[in-house]
Amino acid sequence: MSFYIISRSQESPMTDIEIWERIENGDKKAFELLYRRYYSPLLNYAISFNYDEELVKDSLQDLFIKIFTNPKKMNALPYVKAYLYRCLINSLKDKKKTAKKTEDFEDELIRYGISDQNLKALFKEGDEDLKKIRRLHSAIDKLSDNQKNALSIRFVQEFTWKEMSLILDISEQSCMNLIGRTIIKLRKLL
Amino acid sequence: MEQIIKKYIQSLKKGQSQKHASEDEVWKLLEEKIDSSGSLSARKRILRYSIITSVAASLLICIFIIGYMRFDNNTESRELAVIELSNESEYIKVISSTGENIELISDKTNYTHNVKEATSDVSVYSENTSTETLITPSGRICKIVLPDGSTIHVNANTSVTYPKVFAKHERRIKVDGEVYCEVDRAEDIPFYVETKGFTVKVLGTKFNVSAYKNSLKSNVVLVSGEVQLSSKGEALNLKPRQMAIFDKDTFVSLRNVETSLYTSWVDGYLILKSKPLRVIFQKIEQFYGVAISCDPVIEEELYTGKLDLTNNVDDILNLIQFSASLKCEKENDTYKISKR
Repeated sequence: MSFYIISRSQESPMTDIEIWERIENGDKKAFELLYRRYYSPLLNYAISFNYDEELVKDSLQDLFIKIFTNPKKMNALPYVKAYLYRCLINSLKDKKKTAKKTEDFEDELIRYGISDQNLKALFKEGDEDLKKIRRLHSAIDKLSDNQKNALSIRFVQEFTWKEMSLILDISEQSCMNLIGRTIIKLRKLL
Repeated sequence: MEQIIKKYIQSLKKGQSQKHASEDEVWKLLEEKIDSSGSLSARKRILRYSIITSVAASLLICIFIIGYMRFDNNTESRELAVIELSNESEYIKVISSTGENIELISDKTNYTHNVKEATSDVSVYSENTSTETLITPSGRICKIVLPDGSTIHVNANTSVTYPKVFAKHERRIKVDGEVYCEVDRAEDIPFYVETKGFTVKVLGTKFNVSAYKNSLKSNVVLVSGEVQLSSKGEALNLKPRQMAIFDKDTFVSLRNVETSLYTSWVDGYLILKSKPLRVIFQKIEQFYGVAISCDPVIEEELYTGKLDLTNNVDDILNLIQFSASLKCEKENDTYKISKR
């Protein structure tokens, strides 16, 4: 038998746009592909802003059902990823508002990003680096929700200005100003 | 500081893209909801299928009765007709158009079927009507040598129909499946390959035709010489190393290709060069006549390799699962491929 595997490149996976168009044609496999691509990142993103995990799961389920049953009514093309983040953020905000009316959200503290344990694992080499990263970490913690979100969207999710403006529903110029102001504040905190 | 920020962002990115423990569980919930919302149309579909199957069943009964009446006074033929319907999958079969001559060719690799030279006393009448059909089973290929010396390599799950005696002005065969032809040059007697969607006209050349009835896309790859393709009254000339792709009977595109990738099956190999798993499994399904369902997450991953088609399907999938670290499980009659 002479089968040998040479490469496992992924140079041409389907683009989000192609996937979305297939979903519009009722392709269940494409739908699963979209789900597998974005379910965990969306969930992790929301959890890092201290949203309740169950609440996020519910929102995501509703969102994906809506995508499968009525993709043509959604305005996802051509910025599919940005659209998904925007939908999740909006539905979480809505749910939080209605939840607040009935019971107080006692813990509004944002525990952003990674735990101290993970930081230690990352920077074993020198104490100096670990100290610096802790300083950065606590400085980010002091920023407002909005500012943290902006940093995450811009630098972790690596959205373009155009996509960022769609997610936050503000102009591209406002996005740039927001990021600029956030970085200045972060410098002061450091 | 810059280095540290980069590292910090990297770790955040990694954390965000990590598969969350609830992913599979929520997918199952979603799947249930989707399937239940689509149940109405599914029920309609089942109804439609049951109508189709009942119609098909009654047709089949008619065929049996007609066949019985026809061969009533010839017990030998009747037995042979039953063999044909029992779908013996191990053997290459040759069936004559008159129905009374069924030949089962025993299991042997590299079988060559020689079409006999016509004897001189064959009447003009039988020249036009009498044909033979060769059918290959799953997992086997064979070769037909025609009286004029042309050879036709026949891939698995393919049927080729040819006249017992070729007419004086043309040579014509019909194909459902995949063949690779080496046609001897005879400009005054053109060679035709007919498929469900298009016809290939040949003067003398080497080319591959892949046209399975049950798959939508068909293609013709020209190795050398020149062929003319026609479908729905339109004609198209193919140059060497070009591939024409058809969607049913409609020509869709023309591409330059490495021809050996499309003809390697003739030598018993499947050569794959940066092909997505989706396509690789499609080819294996076609050759071995099995059903493979692949996890969509890995479907688009590209692989390169060489598969020896003289092995059985279990060996092939075994090798793939170990070299590509995938998981292959057999559930009922379907092979399920997923990430390990």
